[in-house]
Amino acid sequence: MLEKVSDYVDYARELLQDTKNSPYRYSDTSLVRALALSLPEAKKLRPDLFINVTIPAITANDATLVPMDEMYRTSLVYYMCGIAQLRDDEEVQDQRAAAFLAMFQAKLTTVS
Amino acid sequence: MAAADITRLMNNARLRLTGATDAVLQQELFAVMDEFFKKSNVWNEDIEVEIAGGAPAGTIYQLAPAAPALIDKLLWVFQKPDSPTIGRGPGVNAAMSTPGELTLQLQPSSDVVYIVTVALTVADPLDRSGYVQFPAWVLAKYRETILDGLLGRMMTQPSKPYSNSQMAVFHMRKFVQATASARVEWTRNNTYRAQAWAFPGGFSSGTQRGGRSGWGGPA
Repeated sequence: MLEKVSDYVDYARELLQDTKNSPYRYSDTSLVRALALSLPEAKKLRPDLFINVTIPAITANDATLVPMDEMYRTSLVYYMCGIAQLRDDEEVQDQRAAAFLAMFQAKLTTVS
Repeated sequence: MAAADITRLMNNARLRLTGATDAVLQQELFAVMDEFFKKSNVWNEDIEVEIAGGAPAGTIYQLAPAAPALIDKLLWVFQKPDSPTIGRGPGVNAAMSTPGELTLQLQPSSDVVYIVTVALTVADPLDRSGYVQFPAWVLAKYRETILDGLLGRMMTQPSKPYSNSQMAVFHMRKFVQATASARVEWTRNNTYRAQAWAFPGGFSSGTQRGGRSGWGGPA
């Protein structure tokens, strides 16, 4: 289940194929930052999901609960993956980054 | 509201609105009920007001509904009859330029009790589950109308999985028509083949003279 910050980071690592800490290709810091950025981006697209919700400060890979309706939680993971892969300069990674960011928006605004 | 009725309404809305959250449905339900009550007048309350004799002209009498609700319109004012077998006393000319503030055209010279009938609409606070509060019979009687209003308003929201401008027009049209029917039913006291008028209260207990039209409204 996606509930805590650590759940989101773990799932993003699965999609990024970055599960072995030897060390990680994408640091906790960068993934947590991407998660923190994803919430206001989601709020911009779907303000209704944040009615009576205060977005917490997400600063570490810990047990902080991420306030997101369960129907839309995977969209945040897609955003994290997209932002992470934007860092890479290989052409394949650019395409994956664009695909993840498009999936983030599609998940929030369409039946997909 | 009855829990079963609101659960049925929400489930009907959820299965037609893919991806909608309960918080948004509750938010829009408030707006739907507000529009429904303001346009149909079906939610009424009689409020007794004690009028002291000889008060200066323009005296304002504050009205407060018993339930959590907002006064939308003044419907009519009658004097409280002395006899318990008479439903209404003579009619009284009054106005409410600010909702909840009653003013009389003529101040009575002696103490009297008036029964003020007002049309209500929804107001905060919500109940503990976050639902707008209104009488249970309204949802039981007008559940399809309320559902149409809810679906219509939800589908007009832009860039949502459930956005659908064509269906929004369809549902809003049904909602508006059904709300107008509810208003007509209310004027006929929900009585089949009833006349759209009633004898004024003054007919049984006093005189019809004094410039009143004879319209008595739902008894």
